[in-house]
Order: sequence, then C-alpha cells, then structure tokens
Amino acid sequence: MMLLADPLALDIAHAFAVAGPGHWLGTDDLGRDVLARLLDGTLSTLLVAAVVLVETAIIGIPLGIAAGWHGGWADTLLSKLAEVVLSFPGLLLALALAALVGPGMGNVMVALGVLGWVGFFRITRVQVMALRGQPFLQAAQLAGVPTYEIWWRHVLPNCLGPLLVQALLVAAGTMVAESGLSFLGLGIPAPYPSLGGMLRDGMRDVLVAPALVVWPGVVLFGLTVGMNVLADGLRQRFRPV
Amino acid sequence: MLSCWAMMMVMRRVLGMIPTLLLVVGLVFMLIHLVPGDPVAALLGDRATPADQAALRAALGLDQPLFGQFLKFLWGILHGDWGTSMVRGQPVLGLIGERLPATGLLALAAMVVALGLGGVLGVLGARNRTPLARGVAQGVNYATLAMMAAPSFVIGPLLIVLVSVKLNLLPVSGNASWDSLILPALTLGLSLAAVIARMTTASLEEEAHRDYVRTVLAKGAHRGRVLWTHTLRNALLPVVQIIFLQMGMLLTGAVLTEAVFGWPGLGNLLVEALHQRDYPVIQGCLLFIAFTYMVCVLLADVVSALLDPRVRR
Repeated sequence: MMLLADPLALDIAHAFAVAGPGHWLGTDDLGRDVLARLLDGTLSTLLVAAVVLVETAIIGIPLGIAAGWHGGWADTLLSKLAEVVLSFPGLLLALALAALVGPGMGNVMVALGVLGWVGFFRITRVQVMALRGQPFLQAAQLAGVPTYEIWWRHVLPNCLGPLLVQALLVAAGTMVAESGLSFLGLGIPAPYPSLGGMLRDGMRDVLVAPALVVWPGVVLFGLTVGMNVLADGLRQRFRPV
Repeated sequence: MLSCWAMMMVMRRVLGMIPTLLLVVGLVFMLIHLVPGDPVAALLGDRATPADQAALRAALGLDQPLFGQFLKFLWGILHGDWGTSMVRGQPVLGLIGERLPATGLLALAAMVVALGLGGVLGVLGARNRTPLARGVAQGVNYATLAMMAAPSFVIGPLLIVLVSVKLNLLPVSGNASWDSLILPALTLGLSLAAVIARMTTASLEEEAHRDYVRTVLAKGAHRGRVLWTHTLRNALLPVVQIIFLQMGMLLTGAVLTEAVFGWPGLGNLLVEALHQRDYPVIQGCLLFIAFTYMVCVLLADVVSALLDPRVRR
C-alpha cells in the first residue's frame, strides 16, 4: 500500500489539511489521512458484514430447515424465541448487547450474529414448510434418500432465491448496525478507523471541516442504499409468478 | 364506538401478549448476566476491594439465586419499582419520565413530516397515465428506496452539513429554540415517510384495478375525483396499519437521531447509560421501548379492525 498513507499515523502539524497531493481527501483533526481511513473503515465495515452474514446463515438456515421440516416443540420454542427477538425494535438489542460486551470488532460480530440468525431462521422455515408436502420431496423420501441429503440437494436449492435476498438485507442491516454502534462509540474502538466513528469524530468539528462528515456519510449512504437496491431488484426477480 | 366485540378482541390480544412480555422481561433481565466475566468487577475496576465488590453485589441483588432475582425483578416492574440508577442515584422510572416529553415531541414532529411527505410521494408514485407521471413515479420509487435504506445517523450529519453549515439556516444541535426541532424531525421522519409512501403507492395501484373504480369511471367521473373520493379512502386502510406499526420503530430511530443532534430525550438517556454501564437504566430504557413498541403493534391491529369491517371476522 505505497500509494496510501498509514491510516493511524498522526501529523498534528497538518491537521485539517485540504485535499491535495499526498492527502487526496485531506486530513482530519489529528492530521491523519482521510482517504486511507475511509478505505480502512469501509474494509472493516464490509468485513464485519461478511462475518456476520456467514455466522447468521450457518446458525439460521439449518435451524430453519429442521424446524420447518420436523415441526414439533422445538419448532414452537425457536419460533417463539425469534418472535421475542423481533419484538424488540431493530438494532436496539444489538446496541445493548454490544455495549455490555464492550467495544471491539470481534464483540460487534458476536453481538450482531447472536441476533441476526432470526431473519434467516424465519425465511427458511416458511420456505421449507411450503415445500414439505411437494410430490418431488415425497418421492425422494420414498426412494430412501437420507434426510440430510434431501435437505442439501432438494430443499436448500429451492429456497435459494429468498435466502439470497435475505443475505443482502442482513449485510445491509449489519453495516447499519456496526456503523451505528461505532457512531455511538460502542463499536470498533478508536484509534482504528470505522465509517461510523469517522462520522462521529467529524461531527465534533463540523463547523471547521464539514468534509470530514461528508466523506464517511456519502460512503455509508452508498453502501446501505446500494445493498438495498440490489436486494429489491433480486426480490422482484425471484417473486413467485 | 368501542363495541362489546371490540373490547373482546382487545382483551384477547392483550392476554396473548403476556407470554411474549414475560420473555421480553426475561431477556432484558438476562442482559446483565450475559456479560462475560463478573459484571461487578467490570463495574468497579481493578482497585476495588473484595468488600466493595460484595457490597455492590448485594445492592444489585446478584448474590441471590438467579430465579429469585428474576421474580424480584418482575415484581418490581409490576409495582412501578424499576430500580435505581447506579450513576445518578435516581429512580429509573423517574429518569425515563423526565426524558419522555422531549422524545415524544420529536416523534410527533417526525410523524407530521412522515405523513405529509409520505402522502404526497405515495400519490405521486402511483400516477402512471402520462410518460411524465411515469418518470416522476420511477424517481419517487428510487427516492423512497434510498430514504428507507439510509440510516438516520448518516442522513442527520449530511443534513447538518448542508442546511446548518453550508446554508446557515438552522441550528446544528440542541433544543434551545423551536427551529432546532426541524432537522431532527426531518431526519427521523424520512424513513417513515418512505415506508408510508411505498405502502400508499402499492395500495393505490391495487385499488385502481377494482371493479368499483371501473364502474365509477364508466359513469363518467373525473379521474381526480375517483382518486380523492374513492380509491384513496380505501387504499389508506393498510397505510393506517403500517403507521401504527412504524410508531414503535420511531423510538429506535430516535435513539440514534437524538445522539446526532444532542436531543435530550430517552435515546440519549439510553446511550449515556450504555457508556456508563448503568445497568438498571439500560434495562429500564430497553423495557420501556419494548413495551411501547408492543403497544403500538397492538394498536395497529385494533385500529385496522375498527376501520375495516372485513377484518372483524
């Protein structure tokens, strides 16, 4: 990364430098390179989103398949649990959980993953329940195909469309949650760059250097809106006719 | 207006909420126990003596068996004893009551923004008679998608830079005068406006294909008249429901919006408590917001049942 400055390197003498060669987007209140911090922060946000996505999919999808396939008391219990988690509005519980566990990228990943599986669980469960009575699955069962193979080869591929949409929504939601936490100072701890943290720091000097708010704001806006537009497009593509 | 039937329905719904309420209380109660390690040690730091730790543990009731603690917690909540702030030394319920008016005002203003903007955008999004109207509708569709997706802590700072810093029209933060309410209300109301707009559009489009619309048009009524006196009325039913559902979401949005604008409401109380690890206040705020949210969901069901006789079956 020779092209970019160190995102953590302090240079107080050149604080609030305007954009120009050397610092393509200028520097912040501590003289750190804004472009380097922006890229590093975006990378962290995407990394958290990717890890949480994998986490929630690994927990939520198998549970959803099992619950939708077998039903019974385990299904009732998990569904009730999902309902309770969803009866808390949005990221509030994630906020509380992450705050209590303490700041840190790993903790944010855990806190968001603990709550995020619910979405995957519900989507998968409903899909599987709709599929369960289909003749091709009954045929597979009668042919003696083992249950796990039915799940893997027949059930899962038929749920892929809605799951892909859900994955994009989870990624978008995670990015919002992570940057929201970092904005409140409860996410990725200073001095490591995060888009939410840069927004909060920028707000302190908004009268002096509004660009420090605009850059992370625009990047976050683009990321979240882009993800949602993509999800919306996929939803229409996969809409049952 | 509230007939015997309506009372019965409300009662049934309230009773149905009890198990969920219990689980919510349980979850909030468990928060303090989910913290890795000893919460008392984390609160007091390294220099605390074992005696200090024991005293705090006893004050928090953490030295008692888990189930007993839960029953005591539940009992307190039911009797208006939501604990005492560990930092401020005031009762939690009193603190919430102090901050509630500011959040209520913000939520109300955001609702006004959302209804006005959402209604206009919703009707614009459903017009498709001319190429120009279709273009506008497409634009509205993208705009509402963006409004819904962008979080309040991004919209807020960007609005501050544009309106307060560049144009110097409104104050940056605080609640010193009435005009400091405008930007927070706009920030909080935008996503709700988008939801209302999209719901109105979808609902209007659905209504436009109904038989009664064709009949009225065949009788020679003007299209504008059909929209305002016939379709819009019917189309607003699902919108009313979504408005009540989203009222609960306003409270969450308020947490971050208040943090952006330094608005002294419930959200800022929660954020302060999170930073200070003031467990009783955190639990109190979470419970209060969750309860309010659930009441809003209940109201959504009741209102839609009262408005639409078809739901009553």
